[in-house]
This record gives sequence, C-alpha cells and structure tokens, in this order.
Amino acid sequence: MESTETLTSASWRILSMSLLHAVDEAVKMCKAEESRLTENIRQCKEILRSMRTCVTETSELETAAAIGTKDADILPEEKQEIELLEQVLKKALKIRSTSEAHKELQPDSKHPNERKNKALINYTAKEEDKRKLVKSVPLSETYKKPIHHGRAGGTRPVLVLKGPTVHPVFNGRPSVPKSASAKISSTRSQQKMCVKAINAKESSEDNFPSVSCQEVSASGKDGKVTTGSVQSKEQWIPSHLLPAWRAQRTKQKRLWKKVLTQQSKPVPERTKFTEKLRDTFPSELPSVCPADIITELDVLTQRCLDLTHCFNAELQAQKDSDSGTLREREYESLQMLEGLERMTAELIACADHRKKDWERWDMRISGALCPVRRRGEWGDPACSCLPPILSYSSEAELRELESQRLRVEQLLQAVRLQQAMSDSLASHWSSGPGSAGPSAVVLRGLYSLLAEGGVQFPSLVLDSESD
Amino acid sequence: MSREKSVKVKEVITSLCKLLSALSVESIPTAEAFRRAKFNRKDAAVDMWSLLSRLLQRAVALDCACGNSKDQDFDVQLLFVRSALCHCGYGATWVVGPRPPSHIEEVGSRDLLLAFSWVLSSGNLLDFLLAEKVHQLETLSSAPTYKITQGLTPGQLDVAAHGTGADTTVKKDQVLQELQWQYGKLRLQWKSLLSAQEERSKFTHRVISNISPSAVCQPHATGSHHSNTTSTALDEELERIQALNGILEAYLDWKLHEPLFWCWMDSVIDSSLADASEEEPFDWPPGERAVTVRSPHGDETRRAVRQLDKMLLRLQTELRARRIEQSTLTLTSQGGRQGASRVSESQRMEVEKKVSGYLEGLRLTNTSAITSRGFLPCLQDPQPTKPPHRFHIGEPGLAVTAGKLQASTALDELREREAVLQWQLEQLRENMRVEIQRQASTMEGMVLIPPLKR
Repeated sequence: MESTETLTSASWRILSMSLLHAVDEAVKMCKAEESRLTENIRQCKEILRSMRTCVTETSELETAAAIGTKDADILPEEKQEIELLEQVLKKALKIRSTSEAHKELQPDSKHPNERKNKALINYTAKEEDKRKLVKSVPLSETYKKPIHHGRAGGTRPVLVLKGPTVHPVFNGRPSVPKSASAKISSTRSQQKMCVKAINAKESSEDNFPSVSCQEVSASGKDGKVTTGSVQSKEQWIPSHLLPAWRAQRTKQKRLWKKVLTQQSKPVPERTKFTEKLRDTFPSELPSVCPADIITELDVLTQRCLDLTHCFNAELQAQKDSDSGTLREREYESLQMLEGLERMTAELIACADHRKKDWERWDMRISGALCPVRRRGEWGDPACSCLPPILSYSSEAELRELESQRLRVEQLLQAVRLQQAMSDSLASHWSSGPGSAGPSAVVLRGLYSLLAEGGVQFPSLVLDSESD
Repeated sequence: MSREKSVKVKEVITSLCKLLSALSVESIPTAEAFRRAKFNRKDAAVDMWSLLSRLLQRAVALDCACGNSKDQDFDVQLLFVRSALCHCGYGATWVVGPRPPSHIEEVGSRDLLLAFSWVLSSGNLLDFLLAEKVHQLETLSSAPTYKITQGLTPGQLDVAAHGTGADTTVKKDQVLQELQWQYGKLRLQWKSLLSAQEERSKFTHRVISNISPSAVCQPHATGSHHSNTTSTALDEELERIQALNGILEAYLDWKLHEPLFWCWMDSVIDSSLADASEEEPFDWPPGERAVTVRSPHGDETRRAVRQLDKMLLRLQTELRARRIEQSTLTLTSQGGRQGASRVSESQRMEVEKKVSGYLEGLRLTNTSAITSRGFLPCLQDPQPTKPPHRFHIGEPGLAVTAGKLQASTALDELREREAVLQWQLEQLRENMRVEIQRQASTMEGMVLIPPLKR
C-alpha cells in the first residue's frame, strides 16, 4: 500500500530540480552562517588582544632607580628595601664582571643573596635559572592557579622585580611545573609586592600575573626594577579602557534584565486600543491575520508530511514483521496507528479552521495584493521575541549548548531533506511504465543517498548467469 | 489642564520617536507631525507616509517577485504598504476595501497614523527590532537559528519548483549525481560550521570571563607582539556597548510612557469615528465582488490549502483502511491462536508510553525550541544565591521566567529534540532501505548488498 504519488517523469524532474535548489540554498545558508561565526571569532580575538597592550622598554639600572623614586606612596620600608636591593644588584653586577675570570661561586656569608643575584643576572641565559628564580619566590597557593591554567602566554621573559619579597629563599627544589616561565615567576613576585605596596582594589583577586601587572599600571604605579642587563623588557599593561568596558557591560546586563521584566508586563491600554481599532474593521474579518494563516498552513503541511512518513514507515515495518512476531510489536504498531489517526483528525480540524479564516479574508480583499511574510516572529503579543539571558556555569557547558543547538538544526534539516528526497526520488521506480526500472548505478546512488545519508554505498553484484 | 496634557503627549511621542530612531528606523517625523496627523492635516500626510512605509520595510518582507518596494514610484509603494498592512491584519477600508485608493494622496494622515499604531500594537514589532539591534551590536550574543532551516518549509520547496522552470532534457541520472554531490557538500559544510561554532564558544567564554573584575584576565596566546596596537578593537566594542545601552535606555523610557500613548491613540480613533459618522456610511454588499481584481497571488495560497486538504484526506483514508484491515485480521486470526495472545498489562503500559513518546516527539519538532530566539550568555557566579526552583522544567514555556534561562534546562530540551529527530531520521532511512532492497530483489540479475554497519 504505497502512499507515494506516482509522478510523471516531467514532474519528477521538476521536483528534483527544486530539491537541488533547496540543497543549494542550504549550503549557501551554512556558508553564510559560518562566515558570520568566523567574523565573530575574529572580533573576539581582537578584543582579547586589545585588552592588554604590550609595552616594550629597555631599561638600565639607573632608570630603575629613577623609576623607583617616582613612586610617591611606596611605604618607606619598601623604599629602604628597594634601595637595598639596588645596592645588592649593583654589587652583583660588579662581582659578575670581575669574577668572570674566576668562574666559580665563592660561598660566603652573603651566600643566598649572591647566589640569588647571580641567578637574577643570568636569568635570561638558562631555563634552570628561570626556575631558580621561581623558587626564590615564596610559593603560595594563589600562585599555583595560574600555572595550572597552563597559560604560557608570552615567551618573552618579563623580569619585573620590585621590593623585598624576592627573598633569598633558595630551596633548590625542582618542583616547578613545566609551564612556569620567568614571566610568570617574576610577575608573581611583583604581584605580592603590589598587593602590599599598592592598594589596588582588585589586585588581591587577581591571581594571574599579567593582570597583576595591569593592576600595577592601572593604578598608575609602575615600579620596574631591572637587574641591570640591557635587555628590552615587556610589560603587559591592561588597556585603560578595561574598567570602562567592564562598567558598561555590567550596566548593560542590568538594563537588559530590566528590559526583560518590563517587556513581560502586559499593557492593558495597548490591548484596549487594538481591540477598539479592530472593532472598526468589517466584522467578518477573523482576528488572525493572513500572514499568520499562511505560516500556520506551512506548519500544518509539515506536520502532515511527518505523519505520512511515519505511517509509511510503520506500514513497512508491519509488512516485514508479519510472520510470527512479538505480540508486543503488534500492539505497538496498533497503538502507533491509532495515535496517528488521532493526530490526523486534529490536523484536519485545524486545517479546516484556517481554511475558513483564509476564505473570510479572501472574500474581503479586493485588488491585487502581494503576499508578505513577517521578517521575524513578532506576530504574537503574548510571545516575547527578546533573547533571554542564559546563565551557564562552565566553558564546557556553553560549548556543549551551542553545539547541541546547531546539531539539532542540522538534524532538522536532514529530516526535511530526507522527506523531500524520498517523496521525489522514490517515485523513480513506480513511475515509467515503459522503463525497465532504474539501472544498477542509479539504484546504488539512490540507496546511498536515501538510506545511508550519502555516507556509505551498497555493493551491487551483477549476476550475469541467469538461472 | 489641556496644555499640560498636550505637553505630556508631546513628551510621550518624542520618547517613541527617540526609540524608533535608536532602532534605526528612517524618516521619523516630529512629534508635532503626529499631532497634526490626529487632526487629519494634509501636510502631515507625507511625513506619516514615509514613516509607515519605512517601518513596514523593516517589519515584513515580500514573498513574491513583483516590484521592488523600495521604488520611488509611489504607486508601487502604495501596493506594498497595503499588502503589508492587510497581511498584518489591518482591515481598514483603504487597505482592504472594495474601492482602494490608487494614489497615496487619497489616504489621509489620520488613517496613516492609525495604521502605524496598529502595526506597533498588534504584535511585538518594537521588541523584534530591539532584538535585531541586540544581535547586531552585542558580539557575544547567540543569534536565532531559524534562518538555516527556513528554506525547507513545504511552501518554499513548492516555490522553488516553479521557479526553476522545467528543463526536461536533463537526465535522471545526472540529477541524481548532482544531488549526491550537493548533499556531500552540505555535509562538509555542516562539519566546518560545527567546528567554527565550537571555536566561537571558546572565545565567547574568554571574553565573558573578563567582564567581572575578579576574573582572570586570560591572555591571548598569539597576540603578544603588538606593542602599539592601541585598543582599537576594545574601543569599538566599548562604543558598540555604549550605543546598545543608549538604545536600551530609550526602550525603557518608552515603556514608561507607553500607556499614555495608547490612551492618546484612543482619542485619535474617537475623532476618526466622529468624522466618519458625518459621512454617509459605506455599505458592504456581502455577496458583491463586482470590481474585484483577482489577485494572482491568492491563487498560490488557495492551491496550498487544497494540497494540504488532499494530503490530509488521503492520510486519513489510508489510516482508516489500514485499521479496518487490521481489525478484520485480528478477528480472523484470533480464533486460531491460543488464549494467551493477550499482551500483559505492564507490557501494554510500556508500549503505550513508548508510542506516546514518539508521537509527542513528532509534535515537538514543529515547535520552536527555548533557544530559538537566541540568547545572551552570562557566566554564573560560582556560588548561586538560591537554587532556581521557580523554574518548572516540565513546561518549556515556563522555563524562561522573566527572561532567565538556565543552561542545563536548555541542554535537556535540546537533547530531547535531538533524540526525537534522530529517531525520525532513522525511521525514514530504514524505510528506504527496506524499500530499495525489495525493489532490487525484483530485478533480474542483480544482488544488492547493503553496507556494513560501522
């Protein structure tokens, strides 16, 4: 009991041309959507990039001192300690330049300091030194976090030291995770200092070193101390727009919440006006408008297609399994058909209703009017078309949600296409009274397209010897 | 007293005009023009006309290929405006009436004002325009997805059929090959789209996590070399957000004044009715359609309606026939079987539940998902203050209370949809498999071996 129409060959071609056109359109839509997404990605990248600017400076030891003295509100003890450090570094430089001939570290009373100083000086040279530098900074849990983030951001070493907490605590344990670079370590040390020295309100929460850098300069204090090597250093400072951007974003969220609440409140004066105006129209006109009727007809047609295909599939399944099957399966199929019949009756009632509505409009409309569709779904005053605020808890959740959304769209498209293809292509063999049925190649193609979604192909064995 | 009132009205209308201009609607007249339109002054007509036609261009799209509505030709514009208004349910005489005006001068400014207010009041047009703006300006918003599948409504497929014109010389094989090729392209396109989406989510999250001050400022891995790229991107982003905030403020301001506007419009209706009662009432002969020009487009809808009727009727007949056939089958076979042919009660319930699940799913696929209008993502605080117990998970409509949506709820719904659609697709494909295999078996000298299930 086939429900497919027997189309003539010409109309089959027309239908399949429209299929091609539909698939073509689908490809174009996807491409457009993808380019929109890539554009968005580019924008986000730019925004992230411009949140921090990299300022390159070359500095000498002298400038360090100069900078150090610029900071007016560094606590006096800090100042003292800075001076101490500077002296130490000067000494270190001197020692290094003179001790090159000796090539050995003389353990002396200033053991830790010197070793540390040498480490400081040699930091750019070796990776181990970097690590030592790391170790020389007291590790606390807050430091671990950025490491575990695994963000080895820039590869350039940023040595920014300040203040006294670069303690000569040299424990020599190689317990540093791999991703620690000098930048992280040094800026971490800076962070600790910053917290003490500067009352940056946000810096205490900023675990990430680059942000701490930012906070430093955000609050306008830029204490950079160098070890005296004439290396160009970089410092990540946040864009000065960052706080403004954050403020605007919070404002936006607040405003949007307000908009959403306001939107959900009904406006009785508005409904009153609509009704009053509607009363002035000719009374036979139904309250639903033509554009909505047409849209609903589309939905009803789609539902009818869904039911028809479901019915065909059910019939097919029954045909297959009518030889001694489970009674359960029989019952299921019975229930299925009953349900389908019920839904069909509902659909028929709906369609009738809409048809009458349409006719009432049709009677009234005089003059050639072009059909229009609404550009969005703004027709129903009860349904909001404003995008809600979606709260998500982790990146993975957001990613999954957005992918899932697209996957559902993809499946929907696949189902629709599958229905259209079955309707048009399946008539291939039931049409054509004169033809001997489809050729092997065509059959193979049909199978792969209709039954496997184009992913796999069946094998056709041509049996040349006839019985 | 009335002066105060008129000042209030002016304020209200100005707020509306500000909102419209924030939403990039063009040709907005002054508040004074509105007032003059209430009294049906001629000079206000041109202003109101441009406003109405611009607004309608944003609100609807022509479904047919005839005439570009942006033409300066006023008659074409008149046709567009009339079509648009009529399809939005506006039933005034000059739109649907038996003697429609042929020139725009024949339409009074008060009528235009009423039509304009109808467009705003009968639906959520302003909200829709606002949503458009939000998606345009807000980099992090997730846009509505209906665009992707919109070409596949049955109505569209029909249109396409007639649009391409029958090229009857094309061979069947060729078309099939072409279709295979295109379908493969489509699959590939989807793959790259999905991967682009993943990447975008990643970056969206990064930007979002920079919003709160306590957030870790995540650096961009490759962007470490720009020393003097000033924050131009951030500049632009800031500008965009500021613009959006301005629009939101205009909207909130309008919402405050909205009730007064509708009261005022009420008075416009009153004055229009007062004037109309002075003229002779136009009689609508119910059966007469003497000078009706048959709309060529009306035919299409009529055809669509007929086709739907046909399909439904056929489906119903076949279902009935099958049911009768089945019941006779069971009657005849029941005698032959043993008494234990009944399905147990628990099995019955299970089956019923399964079947109703399937059928409910069929109904579900034709409704829009919670996420269909897009959303604005927002990172939740790690310690939520109270659990969102006010959301009723069972009803998708209520899951969005006052515009707040939980990602987990949305995910659940989407997974459910995915399951239904997969089932539907599999059912269709299985049907095809069996059908084609049957066909192949009837053909001489050919054996079809289906591919292995991987």
